[in-house]
Amino acid sequence: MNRTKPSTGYREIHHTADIAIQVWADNLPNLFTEAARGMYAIMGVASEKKPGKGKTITFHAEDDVSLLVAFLNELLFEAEHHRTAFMDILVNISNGRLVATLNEGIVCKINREIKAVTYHHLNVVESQQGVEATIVFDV
Amino acid sequence: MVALSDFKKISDYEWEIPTTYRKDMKVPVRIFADRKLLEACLEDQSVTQAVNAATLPGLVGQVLVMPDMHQGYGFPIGGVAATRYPEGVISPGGIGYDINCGVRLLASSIPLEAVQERLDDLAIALDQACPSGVGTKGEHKLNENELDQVCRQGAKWLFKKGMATEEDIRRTEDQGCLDGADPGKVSPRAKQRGKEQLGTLGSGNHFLEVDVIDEVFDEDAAQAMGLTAGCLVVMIHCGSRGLGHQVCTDYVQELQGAVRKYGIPLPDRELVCAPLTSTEGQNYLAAMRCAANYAFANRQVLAHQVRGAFERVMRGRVNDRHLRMVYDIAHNIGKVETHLIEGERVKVCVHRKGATRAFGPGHPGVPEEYRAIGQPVLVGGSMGTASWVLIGTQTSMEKSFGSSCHGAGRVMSRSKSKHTVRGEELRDSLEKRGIRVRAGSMPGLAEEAPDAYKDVDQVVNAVHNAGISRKVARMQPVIVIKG
Repeated sequence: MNRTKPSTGYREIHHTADIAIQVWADNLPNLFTEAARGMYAIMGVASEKKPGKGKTITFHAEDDVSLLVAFLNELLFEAEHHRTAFMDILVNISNGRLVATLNEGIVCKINREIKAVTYHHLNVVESQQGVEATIVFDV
Repeated sequence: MVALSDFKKISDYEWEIPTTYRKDMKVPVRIFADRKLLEACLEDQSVTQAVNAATLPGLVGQVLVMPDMHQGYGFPIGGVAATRYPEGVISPGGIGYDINCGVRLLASSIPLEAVQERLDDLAIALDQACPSGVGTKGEHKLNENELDQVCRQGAKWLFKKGMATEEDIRRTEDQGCLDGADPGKVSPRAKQRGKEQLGTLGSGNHFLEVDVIDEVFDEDAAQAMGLTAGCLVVMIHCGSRGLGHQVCTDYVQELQGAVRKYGIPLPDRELVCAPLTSTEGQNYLAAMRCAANYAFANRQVLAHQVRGAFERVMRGRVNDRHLRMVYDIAHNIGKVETHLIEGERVKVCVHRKGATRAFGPGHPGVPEEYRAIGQPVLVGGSMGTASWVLIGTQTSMEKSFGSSCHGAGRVMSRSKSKHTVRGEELRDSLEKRGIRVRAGSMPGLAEEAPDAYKDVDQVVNAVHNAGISRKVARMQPVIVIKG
């Protein structure tokens, strides 16, 4: 059977002690959205939609890697400290500035603590699908 | 990928990668391990990470790696790197996100057989007394001023609150308080995370165990530490919780700019660093010390809560229910210390990431009552296997910047471990062996299965035979509390 790799996605890859995911997408904003989905999946986040609750977050950074780390760390803090997870994530990136529009959900459960999103060998690179990155999380 | 042929054998327990291996290495990499453990290390990226760490500016001696080494991010876990002070650099990635993750050991004179029928109640009482799990909040909510005091004073703040004894403080590394902590260098977000988490275990590989001492190897040292074969001890493994994670996150981000500013080329951005004397380096040091002090205080509060649980459960069963402090050590930390390097006393900043301080006999940093034997080194095993008490030696002072191993060290990824065994199965098999398990999550328990780790006895034999620590006592678990 000929299986085509979806245009966006993530998969867990081997790491001895921590957790790493490979994320790919057709463009940079979708890569960020997919990375957020992958991180929530690792954490085992279960959430319920908060009707009408939306939020916009903005970051500036020197490069895409720093933007990605800052974005995911923000989601991590919101999940752990405010018990908030985001759905329907819409990301815009332009000239080192990220604007994300997010619908808030209430976190019902988190199965795994992620201590941090690391920079370890993190690069955003062009691929056949568009862009991809490998992210290592300290757990 | 590094191959066995890239190593120069120094002895059966020491292996070196010379600076000729890669042109950006500033110092060699020296690994303490037997051949089998060394070969196992070559299965993942840990040795390459040690080589990367050997490129940092201002390093002295060698980058050292302990036999429990495994792949981390930036530095390998089990790594020790010393940079000359003040010319060298400090790297938050060389210390890790869980700043001052460490181990505390409490000893009792309660024989296991005297309280065997109380162990189920004790497991429940300890689980209730020591909140664990993701983002758990503790009973001791701190206001801004109290949090600043914890950051400045560490475990000493609990002494003033009546939650620590003078002996607890004396027997904690650096008396539970690093000088030079400045809460002004800790971000509001880090403080926000720290206010509600004092006295909590956390999750992941953190644990609280009740063990029984099953073998004593050095009677004099065991006696000095109050360790008696057949008696119960309590081991607490945790760190600085969300406050420490956030401090490291903040400074890894901030120092991305510092490496550009100071023109420091790096093979991996997680190795970001700043000169020790720079504003960025000084700010990180001041914030990291706050997180380290928070972790000392966290383990002190947990010890206080454990003592309360023991008192409630053991009352009427045994007369002497007190849990005496043996020692409390950090294994993720950066410390300014003086070491003898090639005959010269050199002030250095020692990064220990998944490595334990192991000062030898006579060192003024060791409490007076242990000065004749050396500093206790606490090595946590994997769940269901032994843990160890060792002591630092003169050789550790000469060869490893007064450092030794910290645990068993992982060999299997978390996902593979989960596919190998189910949490419920593992809990049942441990309980059949008389080990009571309380865990917040069954998949989380499966990730921490004993088979996911190296053989801790083999790791301990390697540091013992290399001479950088000496065996004192071995302990077997009877109660395990996991987040």
